[in-house]
Order: sequence, then structure tokens, then C-alpha cells
Amino acid sequence: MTALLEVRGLKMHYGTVKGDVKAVDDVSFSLEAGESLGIAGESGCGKTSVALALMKLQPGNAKFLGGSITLDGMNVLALDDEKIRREVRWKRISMVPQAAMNALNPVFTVKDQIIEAILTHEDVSEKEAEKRTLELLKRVGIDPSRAGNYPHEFSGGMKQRAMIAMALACNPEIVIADEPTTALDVIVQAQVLKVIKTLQRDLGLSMILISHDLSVVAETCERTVIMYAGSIVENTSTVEMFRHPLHPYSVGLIGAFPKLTGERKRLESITGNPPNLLDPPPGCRFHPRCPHARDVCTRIVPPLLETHENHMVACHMVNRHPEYR
Amino acid sequence: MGLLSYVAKRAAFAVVTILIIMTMNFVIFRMMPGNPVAMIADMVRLRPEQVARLYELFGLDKPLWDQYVQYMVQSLRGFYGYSYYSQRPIAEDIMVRLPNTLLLVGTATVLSIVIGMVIGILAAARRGSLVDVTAISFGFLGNSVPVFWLGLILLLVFGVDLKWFPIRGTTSVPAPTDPLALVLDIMWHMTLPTFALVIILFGGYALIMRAAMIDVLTEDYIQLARAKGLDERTVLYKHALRNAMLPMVTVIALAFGFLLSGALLTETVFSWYGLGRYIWDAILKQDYPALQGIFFIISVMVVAANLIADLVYGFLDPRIRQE
Amino acid sequence: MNNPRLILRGKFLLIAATLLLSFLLQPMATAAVSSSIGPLEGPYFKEIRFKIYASSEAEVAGLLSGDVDIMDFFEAEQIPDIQPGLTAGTIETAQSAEQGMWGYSFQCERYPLTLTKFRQAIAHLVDKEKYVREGLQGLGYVIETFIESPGYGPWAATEYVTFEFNPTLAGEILDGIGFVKGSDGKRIDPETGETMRPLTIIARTEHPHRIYAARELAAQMDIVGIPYDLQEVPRSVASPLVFLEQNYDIYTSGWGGGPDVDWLWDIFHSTSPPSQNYQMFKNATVDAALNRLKFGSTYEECLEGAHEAQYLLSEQVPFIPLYAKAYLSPYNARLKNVVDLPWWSGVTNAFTMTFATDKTQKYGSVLNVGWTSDPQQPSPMYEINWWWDSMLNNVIYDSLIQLDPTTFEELPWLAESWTTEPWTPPGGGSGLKLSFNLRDDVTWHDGKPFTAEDVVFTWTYAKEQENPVYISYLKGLQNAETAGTYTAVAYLNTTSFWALHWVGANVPMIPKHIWENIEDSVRYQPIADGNLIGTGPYKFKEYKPGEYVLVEANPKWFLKPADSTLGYTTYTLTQGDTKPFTKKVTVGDDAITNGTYTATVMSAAGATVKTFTGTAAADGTYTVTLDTATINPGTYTVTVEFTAPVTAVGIGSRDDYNLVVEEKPPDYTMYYAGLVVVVVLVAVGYVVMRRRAPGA
Repeated sequence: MTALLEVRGLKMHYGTVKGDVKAVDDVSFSLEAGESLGIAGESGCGKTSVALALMKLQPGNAKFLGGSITLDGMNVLALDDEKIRREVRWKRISMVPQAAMNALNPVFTVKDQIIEAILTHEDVSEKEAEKRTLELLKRVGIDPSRAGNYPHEFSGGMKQRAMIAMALACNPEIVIADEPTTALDVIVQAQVLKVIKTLQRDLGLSMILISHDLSVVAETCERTVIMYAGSIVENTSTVEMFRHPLHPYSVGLIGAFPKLTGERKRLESITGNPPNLLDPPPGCRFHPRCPHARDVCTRIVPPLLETHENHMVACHMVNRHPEYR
Repeated sequence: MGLLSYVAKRAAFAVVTILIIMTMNFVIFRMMPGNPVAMIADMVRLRPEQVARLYELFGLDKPLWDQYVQYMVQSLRGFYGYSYYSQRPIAEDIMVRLPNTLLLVGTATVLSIVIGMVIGILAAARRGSLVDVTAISFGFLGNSVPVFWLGLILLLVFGVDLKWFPIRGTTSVPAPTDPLALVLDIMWHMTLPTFALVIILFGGYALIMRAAMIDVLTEDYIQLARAKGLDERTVLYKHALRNAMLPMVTVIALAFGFLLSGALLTETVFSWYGLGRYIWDAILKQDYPALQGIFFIISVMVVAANLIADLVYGFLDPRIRQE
Repeated sequence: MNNPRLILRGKFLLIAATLLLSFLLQPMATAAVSSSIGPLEGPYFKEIRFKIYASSEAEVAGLLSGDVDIMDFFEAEQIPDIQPGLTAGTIETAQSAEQGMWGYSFQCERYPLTLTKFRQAIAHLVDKEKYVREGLQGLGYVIETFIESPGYGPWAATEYVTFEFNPTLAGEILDGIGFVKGSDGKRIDPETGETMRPLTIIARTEHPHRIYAARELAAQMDIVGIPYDLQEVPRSVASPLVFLEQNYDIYTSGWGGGPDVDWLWDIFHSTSPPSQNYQMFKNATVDAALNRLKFGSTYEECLEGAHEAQYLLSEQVPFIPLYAKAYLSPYNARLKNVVDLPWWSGVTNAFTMTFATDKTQKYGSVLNVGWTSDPQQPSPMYEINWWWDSMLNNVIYDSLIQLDPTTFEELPWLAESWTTEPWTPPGGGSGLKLSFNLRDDVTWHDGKPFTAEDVVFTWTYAKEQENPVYISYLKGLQNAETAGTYTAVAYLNTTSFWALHWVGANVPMIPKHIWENIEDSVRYQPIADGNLIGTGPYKFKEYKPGEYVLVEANPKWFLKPADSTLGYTTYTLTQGDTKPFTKKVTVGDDAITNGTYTATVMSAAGATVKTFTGTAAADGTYTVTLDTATINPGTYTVTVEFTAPVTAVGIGSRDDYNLVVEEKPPDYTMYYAGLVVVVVLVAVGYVVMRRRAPGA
């Protein structure tokens, strides 16, 4: 079975006056139809860059240096801008962007912004589009009577839900949710996540959820990818990830994350800071912070290997130190 | 409700501003040195009784307070007194010149705003590119060229040497009688002054537009608009422009507010029969009532333009409407 | 120098004889007036376009491009700007010395300037040569007395006191009258025993050479120890101080005088108003000399008075003459026979406008005059004669006598001849009776004949109205009457030599039928009612504020050359158009309704093509409408005639016009319809495109 979305060896750098920022380096993952994938990692680790690349929305100074993105057998990177715009963006892949609070244009009504998305991609009447918009809003729990409001008249949670409604407007196959709940308070966060989960299940959507917050990923996604400094360090099912993280970084990350259930233990934190991507460390990018680093780690980039069934990890040490598990 | 009280508050503020301006207008002209009667006396060597008559005629023989009251009452009634020089009612003098100024400065303002905005948007969209650098340099250059000098250069090149455009005036001498020919004649005459004004003005609008656009283009909703698959034109002109227009609205409104002051020097270089030239002449001749009248009208226009800007702001930006 | 009055007497006899002869020999041919610049006849231009420029830079550009032939002002400093035209030979220039002068006025009522010695001391501080060399960059002439410009000929004094530049001598004079130097180097006022008060020097900023002169003087005063307060101010500040309040000590004055030198009286006579004699100079001996200059009954007496006054003034020094500027007056090289008047603005004067022509086209060319101002209130009766208004008035109105442009002798103008006889005023004393014999072929621009009635009316009206411009000339007018249709007589209670000029040359003639109903001659704006009607060489045609004033040649002017091809007003009508002519006729308060008013169209060959008869309304308004519907395209003449059997001879008027009937031009309706269609299409297209846009 071929995946709906297949990312292979994606390498994208940002050109700056100081040199290239190696934001995405050899990233590979795939997404099955109906699957929900979480990408987690600290801020600045390249999560959002990957997400933007999927829609070719990378900033102007971005350079693709290799790899492919295949959507349903179609090479997205090879498509011209016009084709991407018409056929991929929002129609097949839509997104709930980071900081959705600011993603709604303040000078247009919420309704109009959703209608605009529909009219851009589908040849339907304005009336039809409006009808669909109201349905969508109802679906995400917004009273259709508020549809004509401006974004500033919405609360944070409502804006986020409206964004979700907008993301669903053209019945996309994939929805990328980039930190969908970051700025929300805990209760609203839970509500929004519930909406996302429900919709994903009901509509059979494929979803990529990006978050620095592991609990959000844990709650929502079937599969979890951990990124560190522009590379994927571990990729496995969410259950497996939380039970048996293999990469020292994942271990640290999950360890740093308090569990509401389960035994209490001391929070483990990772010392040091993520590297400067202008000049990342050679070999394994995590080695300067890794408690288990060896000489090899400083020289050779560890490949992402399926070391256990359905569990991929990029670490030289992973099999040599079973006690570490 | 909210909108209504917003408008009312702004309007009341505008009225108070106008009253203060009127008073200042009066005070400034009384404080200026010089004496219009003496200027006339100098020309024809009047006898004392004739001098007295002139004082009486211009109301300068009354106490200052009476002059002030009379000035306020008359101004509010739309009567600004008689010009010391033409001896015609100032409102009449202004009305004769108004259409010419509106035509020239209006056209030039609209053109330079449109050109400035388009250049500003393009420059912002291609920030750092050759287009950006060229456009902005030319904008700066045009903005800093003295208009009188520019006008004279244009006159000498296109009027004297090439003889493509006329050297003076609003119409030919004599003006054509056929209406269509007259329209073409006026357009021919306004080409050079309009061109000079646009060169001077567009840069400012371009720079402001560019800055506003660059600000807006980094906003999240612009990325979202792109993600939505909107084409670049819609992103720029619908999503970004509408937001970037907010700072532009004030600038544009003020430009229209100062429309009546005409283009003092441009109108003078090109002998355009407008209000700018009227102000220039009135300054040279110390024609206080004329200056008072026109300054009053300009003040009202500027205050009104500000009011309109506030209202348009409310229309463009729903957040303000709410407050 | 001969007495011009004697010459005139002779001339009168000659003219009378010539007239008689010509009358006998042939039907009246238009006669030119001979003058020092040749026979005067004109006009040659069919139209003068006074074009209004808002800046002198643009006006110069117009001169370079050929849009302007002559211009209102030109300063010698602007010569570099017209260099391309001079080099290319498209611009020629007339050059001469200004007939005015610049100098220092002293406020002679303010101590210590009350002291003649003090004023003389200051006169020794002035290095006139240096002023011309540096202040005027050599573009001027040193002046020693008031009417020294070459144009004034014998009127310039031959004897006058001069003060050499000698600061040491100035110091000695000051020492001599008690103003000795104090320990700080400043002069001590002998009355108070303290340092003298600083003298206020006022210099107007708009003329750099005035500032130069004021600073030079201040520097020299500093050297000899006279304290000063130099104020460099714009005209608006200087004028009230000097002309209204006489609140100054030394002022950098400028004078421009006309051809008649009696203006010297206005500046220095003790009874002249302070706005004119702002030196506040009062000296009985000078007054006596000035009186002889102004009221002397013979040329010799006036000349003596002038010389004596100049001598006394040079000694008394209420004013230090410094220099006259050289000026240069550029004009388009296509012009021929331009007349340079030093006391006017160079070549830009009524003589040039009337008697100059185009080198390649004798008749029918257009003269373009550059103006840097709108006219203000062109009217022969307006008190403030704005420069540009005067230019207009001078080509529209005539006076009885014209002064020769170079010799200032009287030339017959509206009056063919005149006589001067002694007359005793009713109250005694001596006076003059001036009789003017008018031309009988002069008509006003509206077709009415010009008669002695108009002359008498002009004099009495201007006097009754106390018109500020003319009252000083007409003050002596005791009575005025007609003696027949073409003789006007003025009775004056003065025997001044200048009296003939006062009533004959200085007052322009205005039509009685227009002005008799005007109550306030000063405020009346004839231009607004189309009433700018005179007898002059040009008729007012159109004024477009801020743009231009047009005047067209008066084809009936009395000095029209015999071979002139300039025609009457031409109405160009499209076949089918109509042109109404109206006229209101009243005698006293009665409307005349029994007249006939006709318009007759005649072919070029003189055959009557069609006659239209008008109708009369109860208020005496007649209307006749010329209808071209049945007139073939072509060129015609139209005579609009009015006759009414009112008095023994009847009253009437006749106006001639040219008529050009053109074929109907293409209908512009289609243009406009096309324009509308395009606009609608664009609008519809726009709306359609907009509707589609969101889906696209």
C-alpha cells in the first residue's frame, strides 16, 4: 500500500547573509490516508518549515537541495506555482496555521474569508458557498449567526475553530495543524483538540499535527515524529513513542513532560540548547547534548533506521546499549 | 449606536478645531508687519483723506475687537470680505479659480497616489529587487527636487526647445470655443504641471505604501491567504492592500484636504490660474482678507478631510468601528 | 530751444491750411500725424494679446519661445536669461537710461536732519561712482540733479551744487556745527551734550542695489561717527513708515517721472501732501521757484523755475540724487518700428502697440505682450492706476493732445488744433481759455460719434467726481462748454504753461453716453459691463481672468493708414445660426420707440443680399436678428443701422461688421455619443469582470 503523502530525504535551507540556515535536513516520513501524524520538537527545530514545504509555502529565501514530496503519486516539488496554487493548496492540503489568532484577516468577516476559499477552488455559486460555510461553522461549534462577525469579535477559541472550519472548507485530504492550540487556555485547548479529533475521525481526514507540546500530540495523533535541529530523530506510533522512546532526545523530551497519570518521578531535563542551524554540529546534531554520545556520533550522521518493528530512530547507540531502554 | 457617537465626537472636535483656527487666522494677520493701505498709497501717492477712505473701506479704522467679531460672523456666513486689490468679494475670486485648482491638483494627486501606491506595492512585493531599489530611488529624488526648478526645466525643455507643450496658462490665447477642442486644449495645457506635480508627489506615497505593505506582508493572515491558494494578485491587492491602506487613508485624506491650497509654486511656474497662484499673489500683495479667506477654507477642508479619514478608517477597519 | 507753444501756433495755421486744401482737393484722406519719430499712423496689428504669466521666469521663457513679443518688466540682471535669443538673433533690444532716479530722502523735520549743514555733511559721504560700479554692476549712470536723464533735455539744471566724496570734509562740517566726536568715536549732539541719537536708515529689500546703497552709507556714517540704525525691510513694512507716518530719517527712494517735469513741485513743495513730500521739506525760496516751474505762464518762466529749483534743492539737500539705472528692453526681432519710451516700460507702450508692425506682415499680425499680473480694474477713472491697467487704458482711450515720445511737444490727436487765449475769471485774476477743435471723423468703439459734448462731459465729470488721478489737473477748471459739435472750450483760472497738458494731454476722453449714469466713477468696473469703450486704436475684446486680455484693432481709428486692410469685427457664423443685435435708445428719461433698427447684409461687391428689420420694446430696446439660414456660405459685410426722427436732424447710429458664413461643420453629437458608448462599455466590462473575479 502506498502512502497518501510520502516525504523522502527532504532538504531545505534558508539563504541568509550569514550563510545557509540548514532548517530541514534529510527529512523523510509518510502519511497514510486517514492517519493522524504528530510532529513534535522544540521551537526552531524545523517542524513548521516541513509543514510549509508540503504546500510549497516556504519563504522566498528557501532553497530545496534535495528530496521529494509525493502526494498521491504526484511530485509536489516539481509542480509549477500555478498548479500548486490551484490543485494542492487548500484543495488537497489545507492548514490550521500557527497562531491562528492572527491568521484571520482583520478587515474581512469570518464568513467571507471561508467563502473566499471555497470560491477560489470550486465552481459553485456564492450562495452555495455561503451555505457550506455556515454548515462548517456549525460543525466546529460556532453559531452561524456569528458568521458575519469580524475576527476581533471572536474569542481565541472561536477563532481557532473558525480556522478549522476554514481548513475543511474545500474537503481536503490532508490537514496540517501547526500549533493549533498554543495560545489558548487549557480548557479551550481541550475543546479545540476535541473538535479536531472528532472531525478527523468523522471525515476520515489525514492530519499532520505540529506541536512543541507533546501532550497535544499524544492526545490527538496515532503516530508521532520527533524532530531535532532540522532532522527526524524518531518516528513511531504514539503509544510506542511514549512507552518506549529510543532516541536520547525523545527520552529527554518525554521525560521533561509531566504525566498526569503514572508514577511520579523526577523530571528529567536535557542540558544545553539546540544548536545554531547556521553551523550545526557535525555527525549527530544532538551529540553535544547527548549523555551517551561517543566518538562516532561526532563524525557520522546517524541514519533513520527501522530498528524495531514500525519504529524508526536515528541514533548510533540505540542497539548498543539495550540497558538504555 | 457606537458608530453614531463616534461620528458625533469627531464632528464636535472638528468644529472646535475650526473655531480655534479661525481665531489664529485673524490674530496672525494682525500681527504681521506691513499695511495694505500704505502699499496702495506708495503706488499712487494718496492724499491723507484718500488714505482715510481706504482705511474705512477695508474696515481697518474700527477697533480690533470689532474687526474680530465682524470677521468671525462674516466668515461663518461664507463671506470673507473684499480683496484689497481686486476689490471683488474673495469668495468670488476663490470660486473662479477653484475649478482649475481642483482639476490640476486633483488629477495630479489622484495620479500620484495611484502611481505611488502601485509602485509602493510592487516594491514591497519584490522587496530588495531592482524594481524596488529603482522605484524608491526615483521616488526620493522626485520628492526632494525643488518644484520651481523642475517646472522651469520642464518649461525650457518641452516648451521652449521642443515646443511640445505650452509655456503658460490654462487655455490657449484665445481659448477655443468648441467644447471638445476646449477640453483637449485644457488637457494639453495641464500636461506639464501635472507631470511636475506627479514627479514631486508620487515618491512620498510610494514610500509610505511600501512601508505599510512590508509590514502587512509579514502578517500571518497573508501566509494563510497564500495557503488558501489565492493568486498573488488577490493576496496583494485584496488581503494585504486593504490592511496596508489604513495608514494611507490619513495621508490621502490630508492630500485632499490640502487640495485647495493648490500647488503654490507649480501653479506659479506654469501660470495656472488656480488658488495656489492666488495665495502666492495675495502674499506678495499682503492681501490679508484674501489670505484669511483662503486659509479659512483650507483649514475647513483639512479638518473635514481628517474627519472623513476617521470615518473611512472606521469603514476600513472593523476594529475601530466597534470602539 | 524754441518755445514749443510758438511752434504750435505756427503748426495750427499750417494744419488749418492743409485741412482746407485737402477738403477742397479730395474727399478726406486719413492723415498721419507727423512726429519726431516719423509720421504716426496705425494700428497694424489686428489684435493684441496680453498674456498673463505668473512668474517672470516663465515670461522670459515665453520671450525665448516666441510666445511673447514685448514684456512688462525686464531688469538688466535678466540679460543672461535671454542670451540664447540674442545670440540666435530672435530677440532685439532697446537700451537707454531710466527716466527716473534713485537717491536718499531725508526726513527734514527730524533733528538733526533739520540742519542743512548736517545733510550736506552726509552728502559728502556718498561715493556715487562706486555705487554704480558695484551696486548696479555698472548698469547705470551717476545723477547729480533731479531731472537729469537725457530725455528731459533742457529741463536739466546747468548749475547745481555738487558734493564730492570726502569723509574728512564731512567730519569737518560736523565739527563746525558742534557735532564733535566723543571719546567713543561717536558724535556728540551739541544740544544735549550726549552722544547723538542713531539715524534710522530704511532700505527696501526687493532691490539689491538699494540695500547696497544703504549699507555703503551706513559704513561711511560709522567712519565719521554718526550712529545709525539700518533697517532692511520689505516694501510692506517700509511703505507705512515712509509714506504714511514719515517715521524715518533716511530712506532709499526711487522716483519715476513723466515727460512733464511739473512733478518736481509735488515732491518738494511745502503744500504738497506728506505722502508725496515725505521729506517734509519746507523752504519758502524753493517753494517760490517750484511755483514758477508749475504755474509759470511761459516756457521760459517754467524753465527758469525748474533750473532755480534744482539749484536750490541741490544746495539744500532734502534728497541726494544718486544714479539712474540703465535698462534694456527686449523684443521679438520680427517687430519693426518699435518705440522706446524711457519714462514708460521701454518698448512696451501704447506707441509701440499702435505704430509698430511685423517685418513680414504689414497688416493683420498679432502682437503678444507678456504680463506678470492680471489687470485690476481697467478704467480710465480708477484712482489706482495699476501698471497693467494703464497699458490697457492707453490703447483704448485717447486724449485730445498726445505728447511726442521724444520731444514732448504737443501732437494733434483727438483735437486737430487748439487755441490759447487769456481769460479773466469772474472773481478776477488771470486765466486761460483753451479751445479745442476736434476731429469730426472719430467714433466711439460702439459706433456713436465722438463730439465736444463728450469732451466737456469728461472734464466736468472728472472734476465733480473729484477723481483722485485727475483732480490736480482739473482744479483750475472754472467752466467748460461746447462751441458747436466739434469745438470744446475750457476756462481755467490759471495761466500755467502746463495747463494745456493738464486738460488736453493728461485726461483721457470718456464717452458721455456710458458714464453719465455712473454715480461712483472710482468704483465702477466698466470691464464687467463691456463698457470699456473709448476712441483709441484698439477695442476691448475679451478678458479671461488669469489668462489673457484681448484687444482688437479699431478699423475706424482716425490715424488708420490709407492702405490698411484691417477690417471690422468679424462674426463667423455657421449657416443656420442667428446673431442678435440689441440697442437701447432713450432721450432723457423717455424711451424712443419709433425708430427703425435694421441689419443689412451686403456682398463683397456691395450688393445688398438681405435686410433684416428689428423690433422695438416699450422700454426703447431694439432687437434685430441676423439669420443666416438663407445666406450662402461666403464673406459679407453687415451694417447695423438705427435711425429715429427725434430731433430736427434725427438721431442714429451705424455699426459695420464683417460676416463670414460657414458651411455646417460635422456634427459633434456623434463624438459625444461615441464617447458615452465607450464609457458605458468600459463600465459594463468592469462590472462583469469584477463579478467573475472571485471565482477566477
